[in-house]
Amino acid sequence: MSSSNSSPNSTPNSSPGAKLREAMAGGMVLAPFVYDGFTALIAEGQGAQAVYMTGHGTSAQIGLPDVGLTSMAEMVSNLGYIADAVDVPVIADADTGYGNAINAQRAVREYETAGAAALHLEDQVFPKRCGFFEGKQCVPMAEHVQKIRAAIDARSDPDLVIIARTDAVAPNGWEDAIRRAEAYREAGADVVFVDGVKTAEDMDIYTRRLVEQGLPCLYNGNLLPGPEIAERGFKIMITGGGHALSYAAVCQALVNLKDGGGGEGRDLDQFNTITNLLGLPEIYELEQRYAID
Amino acid sequence: MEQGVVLAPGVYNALFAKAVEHTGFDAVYITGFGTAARYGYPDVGLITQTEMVQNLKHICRATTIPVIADADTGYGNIINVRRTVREYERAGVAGFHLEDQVFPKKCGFMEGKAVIPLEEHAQKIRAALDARRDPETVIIARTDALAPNGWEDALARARAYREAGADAVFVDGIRTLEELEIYSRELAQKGIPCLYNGGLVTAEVAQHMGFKIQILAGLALGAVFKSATAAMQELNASGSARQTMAQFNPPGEVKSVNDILGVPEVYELEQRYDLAGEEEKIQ
Repeated sequence: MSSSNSSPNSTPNSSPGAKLREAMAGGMVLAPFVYDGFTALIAEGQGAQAVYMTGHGTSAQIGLPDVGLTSMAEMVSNLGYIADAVDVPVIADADTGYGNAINAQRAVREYETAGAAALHLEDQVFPKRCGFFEGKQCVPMAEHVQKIRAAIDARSDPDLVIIARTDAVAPNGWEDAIRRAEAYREAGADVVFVDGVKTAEDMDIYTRRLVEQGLPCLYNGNLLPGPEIAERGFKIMITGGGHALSYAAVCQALVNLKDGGGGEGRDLDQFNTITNLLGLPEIYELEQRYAID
Repeated sequence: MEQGVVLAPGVYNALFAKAVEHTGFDAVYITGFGTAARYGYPDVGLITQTEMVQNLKHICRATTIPVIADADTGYGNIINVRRTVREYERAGVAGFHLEDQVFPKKCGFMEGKAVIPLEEHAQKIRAALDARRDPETVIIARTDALAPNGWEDALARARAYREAGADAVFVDGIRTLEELEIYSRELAQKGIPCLYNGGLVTAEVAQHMGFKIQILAGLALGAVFKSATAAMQELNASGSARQTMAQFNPPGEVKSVNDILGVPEVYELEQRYDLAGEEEKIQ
């Protein structure tokens, strides 16, 4: 909120989608996983050029596993907070679009209004599950092609980046996944995203059969560091610790406390760094500016 | 609270609340500072009651241990306080604290705090007690008077709020051991149930000093800040966050994030209701 409040003219008339497209034109966009306003601010504060709102993390913070229980309204609410908190483009997980092509159209409009620069729609059966879980199933390719067309028709900003994701590798194998990615791109998707890339071999197939054929591709994972993924020609990489890292760090602190830790006093520097990151200095400035006496 | 001190680590989402329960704590504290941070704001009264309650609902549903919640000023006057009490109870909290700051409030450790008159907050406490539907809901009266007005006023307020019926009192903004000792000597050891927010001493020492509840409001926020910052720095330097992720691996005895969120139970339910079979038929 800090910079959006204090510098309204930094990028006039530039939509979130346009900002993301501009960044993609300059090379691969590396978007770290974030799941709330705080982690988005940390990422932006450390220089991230975009952030990725994870559906897994959005579900986790409300206590749910990533199996399609989290509603579109809950995703949009979280997206709104993240997009308000940071100035960098937000790439958002939109799962299956929360139903059929009609539901997907509403999701696109809601995501766009909430401030998304990009969203991805996947070809799983609704309710979906995390791309790395067992038991995924896909809808027929033609059905998802229609969903992508519907999504494109629904955006009011032509720069909103529509990413078509396929989950077909695990249930159906690479040949089907490649066929689907090509068809979704043909249907007008700006970027394609094959999820569930688990091995170096998967990565090589993805690179050779799609990226090197000129399809703009997104990679989700950490098999290789960013510069190597960029060198392979990917347009977007989403990666990082996200909520799993936060969970691990919180558990470490809790176990340490349980084992008799604590009592070390206050970390004033950290408190001040966090309040600065959240925009407290701007609040004090505003209090001065609008003071009554 | 009957036996010794209740140690409640501070978190601000359902995942971390599950972690608190899983690692064996008897209660969890939900920080308003963290909830505001979660939404991307500093803790200066910008977050509404609705947003606080929404977060509490998810947390209370995700845990079975008692949830102690930050209710700020009650979000307005005594009429607002009544609604806050009802909404917090319905969300499922075991207790919450109401503070005597001017609305909109500030974090207890920030500069520029101001408090309402003592008698006005005593009335808020009475209104809160009258509004609760469950007489077991623990109502904690917090005073922020120490920083702006000094100890005399803070002590007078804590005593008055207890007199008005608060189940516990909470003097916030304790920055030094000397202050903690005054708090202990003048209130905790005088038979007034007291809450201490901070980590100047361990729970064992806090109990010895007579405190009934110790909260570590910043525990989760600090851990997230440190780990996420390290991951972002590594990502910027090398394009990968793998080292940071290895460094913050969950301790061996702790469940994975998917297990704690109940993924195995989802697979079990799918088996029980033969969901996979149904999907095959549809295909």
